[in-house]
Amino acid sequence: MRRICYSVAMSLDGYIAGPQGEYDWIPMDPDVDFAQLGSRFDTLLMGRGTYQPFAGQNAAGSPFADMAILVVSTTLRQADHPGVTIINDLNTAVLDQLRAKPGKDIWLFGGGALFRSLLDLGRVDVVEVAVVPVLLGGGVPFLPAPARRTTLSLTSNRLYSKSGMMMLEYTARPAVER
Amino acid sequence: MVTYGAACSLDLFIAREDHAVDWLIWSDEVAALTAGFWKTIDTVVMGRKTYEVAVRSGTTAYPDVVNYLCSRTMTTAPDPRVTLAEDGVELVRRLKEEPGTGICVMGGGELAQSLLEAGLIDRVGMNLHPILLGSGIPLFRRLSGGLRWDLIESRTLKTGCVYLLYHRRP
Repeated sequence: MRRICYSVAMSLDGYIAGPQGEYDWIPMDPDVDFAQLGSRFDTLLMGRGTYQPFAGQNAAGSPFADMAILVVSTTLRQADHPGVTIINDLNTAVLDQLRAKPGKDIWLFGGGALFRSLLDLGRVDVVEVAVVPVLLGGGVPFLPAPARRTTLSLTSNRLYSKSGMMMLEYTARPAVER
Repeated sequence: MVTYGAACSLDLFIAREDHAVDWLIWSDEVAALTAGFWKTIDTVVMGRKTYEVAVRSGTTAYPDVVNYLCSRTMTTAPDPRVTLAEDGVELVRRLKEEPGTGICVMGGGELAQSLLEAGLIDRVGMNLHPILLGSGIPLFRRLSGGLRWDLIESRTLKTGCVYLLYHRRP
């Protein structure tokens, strides 16, 4: 079964992007293997707010080049976005169908609101956070409140000493079926 | 040296909205870390809301340290061992100039926010718990600008908690 993984860099105060949507506070640590991302994931799942600034970044040569892109949006129409798959109605059936297909893991790219929706549906398998040693003071939250309380299990951790980033990986306990 | 920190969820809450901390995981390792830290401080500074939570759980003053309670509204110290101060920023600025060992800023919220804004917090410590609370009292509030830190210590505890200690970059 493919896993849905929310994998993000997060500031000490819990933001995944700065107040202007910026990412320049995330260090480019030479020890982080970005190319390896392509070997773990073959699909990007994101919300409309993340998709719009993202458009074009999956050009050949980027780590996203061969990944399928799924965009969750109640407003975007499939006919207007031929290069990606638009999911207008996010529900457990759609997500379970996705996980049951053969393939690599699915990267829940963001934003935090989509993470919240998937947590609420009980369909987040892995949470991977790179804690960046900066207080941004504001920005896009890692998980906007109010969200469903979820117990996690720490499965691995790694310190990137050059940047002071701490990478933490957790599995989310299976949700109780409603 | 002024340290602010707390045990918190992965989504950076220090308590649920009703101040409940029943989700905290205590262990021998945490006790050892706390005891080790406690040896480095001689002063505790807290805000009124944090103090009220402490009182409800039976603590009216922390032993063996000087206790300061920052409040603009309280006029009488509830315990003779606790000194009231009206302005937390002014208090900490003054304390830093006086001789002594470490100062611990306790609790979440407004006091820590004003001290961070004033550049008076030297260290931030967090014991990240393997849980997403979804809502509650945040460890950090909004700031007017960014602040960079150096990770000086990290420990993974057997319980799945991760202890991280940061020092402010000048």
